[in-house]
Amino acid sequence: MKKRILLVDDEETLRLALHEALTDDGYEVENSGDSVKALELAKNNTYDLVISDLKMPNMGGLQLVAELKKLHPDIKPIIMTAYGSIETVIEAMHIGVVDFLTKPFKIEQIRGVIRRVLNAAPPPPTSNNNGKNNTGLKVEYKNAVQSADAFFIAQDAANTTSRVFYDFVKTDTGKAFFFGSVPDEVEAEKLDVVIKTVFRHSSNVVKSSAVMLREINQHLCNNINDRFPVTLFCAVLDKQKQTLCYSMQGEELACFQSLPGNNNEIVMLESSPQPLNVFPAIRIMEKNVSFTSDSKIVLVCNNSLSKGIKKGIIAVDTLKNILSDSIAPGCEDMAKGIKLQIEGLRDLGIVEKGAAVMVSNLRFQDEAPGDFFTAIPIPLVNYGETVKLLDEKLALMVKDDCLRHEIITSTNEAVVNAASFAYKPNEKGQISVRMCRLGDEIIVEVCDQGRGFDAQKRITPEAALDNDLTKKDGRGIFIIKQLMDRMAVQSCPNMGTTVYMAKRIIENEN
Amino acid sequence: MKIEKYEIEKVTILAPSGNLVYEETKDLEAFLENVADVSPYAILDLANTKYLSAKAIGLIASYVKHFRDNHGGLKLTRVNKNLKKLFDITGLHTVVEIFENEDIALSSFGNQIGKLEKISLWAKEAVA
Repeated sequence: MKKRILLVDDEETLRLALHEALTDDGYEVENSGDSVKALELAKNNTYDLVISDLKMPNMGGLQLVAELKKLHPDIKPIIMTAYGSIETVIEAMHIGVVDFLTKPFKIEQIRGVIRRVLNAAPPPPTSNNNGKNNTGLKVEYKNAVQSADAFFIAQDAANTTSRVFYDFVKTDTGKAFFFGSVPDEVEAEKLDVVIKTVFRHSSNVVKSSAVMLREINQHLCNNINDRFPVTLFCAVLDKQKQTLCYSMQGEELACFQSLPGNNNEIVMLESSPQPLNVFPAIRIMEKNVSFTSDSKIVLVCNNSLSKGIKKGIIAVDTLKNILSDSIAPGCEDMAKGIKLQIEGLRDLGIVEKGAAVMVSNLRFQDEAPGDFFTAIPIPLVNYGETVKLLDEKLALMVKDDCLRHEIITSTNEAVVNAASFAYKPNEKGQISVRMCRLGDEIIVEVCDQGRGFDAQKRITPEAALDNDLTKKDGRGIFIIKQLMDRMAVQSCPNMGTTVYMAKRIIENEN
Repeated sequence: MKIEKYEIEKVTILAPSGNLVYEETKDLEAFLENVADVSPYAILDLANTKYLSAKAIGLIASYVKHFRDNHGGLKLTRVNKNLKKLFDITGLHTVVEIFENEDIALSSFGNQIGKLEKISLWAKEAVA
C-alpha cells in the first residue's frame, strides 16, 4: 500500500516540484499552499507523513503540526525552513516533529529523510545497563558500514552511555558525518534528532572540509555542547583532496589527516581512554591494552578491511578481537599487533595493498637507538644549523640519503610553518621535534607548544591547487603530503599545533 | 649565510653555501633583488645547498618569472637529485630551467645575449 504524504508550502515552485518528485518515487501525495486548507484536508483523510514549511501566512507550520497531531497522533511531521533556530527546533521536537530540513536542500536529502521516517527506523539503540547486551549498537554498526565511508566502531561497555547515534550528509566532494552519544540521565527527548538537525543545518555549506568542520563545530558548540552533556565526534571526508578533518566535543580543534592513496575507505577504531571521551565507556582495547599515554586514536586505513566488513566476511566482533589480541603494553606493540592481524586477513583473500595503521599522540616512552628529541627556540635563529643536526640524528635511523632528505624537508616545512604562523612570533617559546623509528616507519612529531599557527589562517590544501605556481601558498603542506606517507595536523588555540608525519622506510642496505 | 657572487660575461652567478630554509631565504631574496636591478641574466648555483624550503622554491620561481619578464633569465645549476624531485612534485620544473653545470647554463644564454647585443648594435648604427 502506498504511503500517503501531505505537502504544505506556500512556495508554489518548491511544492509542485516536490509533489512531482515524490509521486515519481511511488508515494501518494497531496499538496496545499495554505495551512488552513491543509488542515481541512487532514480532517477527511489520513496521511502517514506531513511535510510542511515553517513560516506560512494564516497558520505557521508548528501550529499546523500541533493541530494535525490532535487529529492523527500517528502522523509523522517533517518541517522545512530557511530560518531554523535551535529554539524552533527544540520546540518543534516537543510537539512531535520528527525531522527538520533546512532550505535550500537537494531532493536526495528529503528522499533520505522520508525513507528514514517512513521506514519507522527503530528507536535509537539504548544500552543495557547491565552491560551484557549490545544488539542495538550492532545495528548502528551495520548501517554505518553499509552507508558511510568512514565510521567509528564503538562499544557501549557499561552503565554510562545510553543513546548512541550518527548521521552523515553527502557533500559535493565527500561526506560530513558525526557520531554522538547522550547519557541516560539526560531527559531531553529526541535530543539526538535535534543534534542531527543542527548538524545538517551547519553542514549545508559548500566550503572546504576544514571550514565546514568549523561551521559544524561552532553550531554544535553554541547550541548543544553548552547546554547538554552529550559527546560528539564530527568529521568531514573530502575524497577529492584525500583529506579527513575531524574533531571532538565541538572544539575548534581540527585534525587534518591526509589519506594515503586514492579511494581508500577509512575505518576508524576508537581506542580512547577516558581523556578523549568521545564515547563514554568505550571498551575496545582499553581493557586489554595498556594505553596509558596520551594516545588518542587508532586509524586504520585499509580498503580491504572495510570491504571485508561490508561483505560480512569480517564481523565487528572479529575486529574487536583483533584489537584485543594485542595484549602487550604500549602503542607501538598495539600498532604492530593490528598490523599483524591485518596481514593475517590475507588468508581470507581480501587484503589489498595500502593497509596502514596510525596511532596518534605517541609518547615514545621507550626510546630506541636513534630516537631523537630537540627543542628549537622561537624565533628561529640559525635554523640552517639545526637542520644539519636533524640530518645527523636521522642518519642514525635512515641510511638512504633520498629518504632522509624527504623526511627532513617535510620536518622543515612543519617547523617553518609553526614559526611563521605563531600567534606571537616574537614571544619566547619553542618548537619541539621528535623523531623515532616505529617498525618500518619513521614517525616525526613537530609541536609548537601552544604558539602554533592560527587555525583561522591555517594553510588550506586548496591553496595547493592554485594554478599560479609562483605565488602559491600552502606549498609546504603540499610538499609534506607528497613526500611523507601520512600526515596529520592537530590544532587548537590552547594546546597549539602538532604535525604528525610518517614515512615508511624500505631501505636497501646494500 | 654566505652567498658568493661573481660575473662571467654578462651573467651574474650566485652560489649560496648552506641550506635555504628559513632566514637564509631572505638573504637570497636580497641578493636576487640586487642582481635583478643590474643584470637580466643570472645563474643560481645550488651545488652547496642540500635543503630548500617551500618558501625558497616559491622565491626562486617568482624570480625566474621576474627575469623572464625583463627579457633575461634566471637558471639553476648543479641541483642535487633530491631538490630536483621537489621541483618536480611542485610542478616548478616546468617554470625553472636546471642545468648540469655552469658552462651549459652560460651557453644557454648565448643566443639571447647575442641577439640583444646585435639589436643594440643596430640601434647605435641607426642613430649614427
